[in-house]
Amino acid sequence: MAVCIGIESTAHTLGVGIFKGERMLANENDMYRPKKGGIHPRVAADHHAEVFGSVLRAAFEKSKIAKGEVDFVAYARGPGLGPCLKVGMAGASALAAKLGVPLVPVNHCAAHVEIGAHYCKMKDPLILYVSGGNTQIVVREAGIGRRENGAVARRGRGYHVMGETLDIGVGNLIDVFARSLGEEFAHGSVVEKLATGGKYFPLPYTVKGMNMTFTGLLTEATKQLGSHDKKDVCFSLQETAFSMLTEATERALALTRKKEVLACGGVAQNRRLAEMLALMAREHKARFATSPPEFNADNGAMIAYTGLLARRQAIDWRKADVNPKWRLDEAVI
Amino acid sequence: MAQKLIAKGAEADVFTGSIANIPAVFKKRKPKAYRVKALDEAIRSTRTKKEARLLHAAKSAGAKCPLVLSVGKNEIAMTRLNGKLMRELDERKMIAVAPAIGTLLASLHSAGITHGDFTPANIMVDGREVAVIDFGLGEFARDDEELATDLLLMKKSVPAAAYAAFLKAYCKARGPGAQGKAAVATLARLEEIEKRGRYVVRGALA
Repeated sequence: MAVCIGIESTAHTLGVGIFKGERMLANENDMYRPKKGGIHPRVAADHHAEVFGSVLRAAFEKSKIAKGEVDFVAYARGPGLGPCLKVGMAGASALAAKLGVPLVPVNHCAAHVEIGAHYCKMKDPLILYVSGGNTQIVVREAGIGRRENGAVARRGRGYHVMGETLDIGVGNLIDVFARSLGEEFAHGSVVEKLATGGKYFPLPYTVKGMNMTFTGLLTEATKQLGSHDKKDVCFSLQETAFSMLTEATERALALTRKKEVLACGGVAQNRRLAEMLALMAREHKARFATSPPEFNADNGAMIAYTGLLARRQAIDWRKADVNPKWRLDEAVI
Repeated sequence: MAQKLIAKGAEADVFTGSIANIPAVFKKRKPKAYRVKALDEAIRSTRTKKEARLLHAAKSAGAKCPLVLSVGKNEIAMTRLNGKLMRELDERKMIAVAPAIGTLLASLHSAGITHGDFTPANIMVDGREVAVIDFGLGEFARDDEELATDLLLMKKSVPAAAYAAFLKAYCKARGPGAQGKAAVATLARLEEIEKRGRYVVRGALA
């Protein structure tokens, strides 16, 4: 069975995962945590370069495989922060060159989708992928070639983005709002905890078909912090944003008549969102599942797993590049 | 009068029946268990009201569409139209009706109405007559961004020849004069949306 090492470095996490066939042998990750504010791309990239060696060593030790057993090295080529992606690409290229194996460029969003479908045992799901930078409603589609930047079409399985955010990702909405709460660790889980027992009041709700926008909601919620109880703003923000996501997902589900709904990405960890999606899916007699927590966070294992699926897209390490804006619907595995 | 369920959408169920012997269609917005009650009720009643206003405005603008018979809190009753959906037509017939659809959309846009889901699934064809249904995603808007989205959806969901015939009639109906200039602005925006990437409606559903 083929062995693949996967390198993740799109945002705040440097991860190395190892898969042998469908079995995970290692998943080692090191997250850069800014003391204040959001991620500074260059500082995060420095962090990735610093921990690369130790994370890689830890993954090898845990997997108990020898270097000679490795068949592929996969890396997250995009989408993500340019400087961070370049560290992952450089590390992966060096590793591939040293081991003398092909390099597989993997789309970060595709990796979240594929590993989620794998562990939730879903064959043909409708996928809601929600993270800091990405918010998309996706279906997988069979056997067509794609073009990227006018390059030659490659054949393989692709993805169709049915709906998405037209401005910021829903995770970004929650994180930026959380920072204005003045809590020490500004994060989505803080908002989730504070929202317990809050009361609803109306905030801007913007769904256009299967697309949505979040900036109006962010501005208004932040403004309302002055005149409402913190609890109530957190509750109303979550209710509004998650109802928007669930409505758009429901529209896609009614259209495609899929029998499975998968939620993945960092925001999929939120229990209220999962509850709403489950209620919605049940009405359409579809099975709902959330990707396992360790794969909702950014991680190297999902890149390794998807690298094996996408092995036909392997390249020589000298041809490696990054694409910070690589859309999921331009990716082929 | 007994009502019969004919369509189950994401946000509403559609029934056929009649009011005072007039064949009617009833669109009912169902409560959603996943939403908090206050939000759920607000969404359903504002959308129902807005849809009725849009249907009324479209009618006033001369676009063929169902006539609103009554509006309840979460329910609209409207006249039932004859014919079949455009999506059931073959390519040759689609091309034949495309100019009439272009003229229809132009009359909506000139009146400041966008449909929001302008696809062959929402156009009824009866011989040479065409009508538009389901204003559930419609808006009162004159933004080229919103108008161009209607064109883009049609472009992505019909054969190229049908779209060409549709667009020609659309431009003609929105011109000449100030409205003609308006069509040029809408088309420029359409081109921009397609170049943008993130906002693009990519390909019809497989």
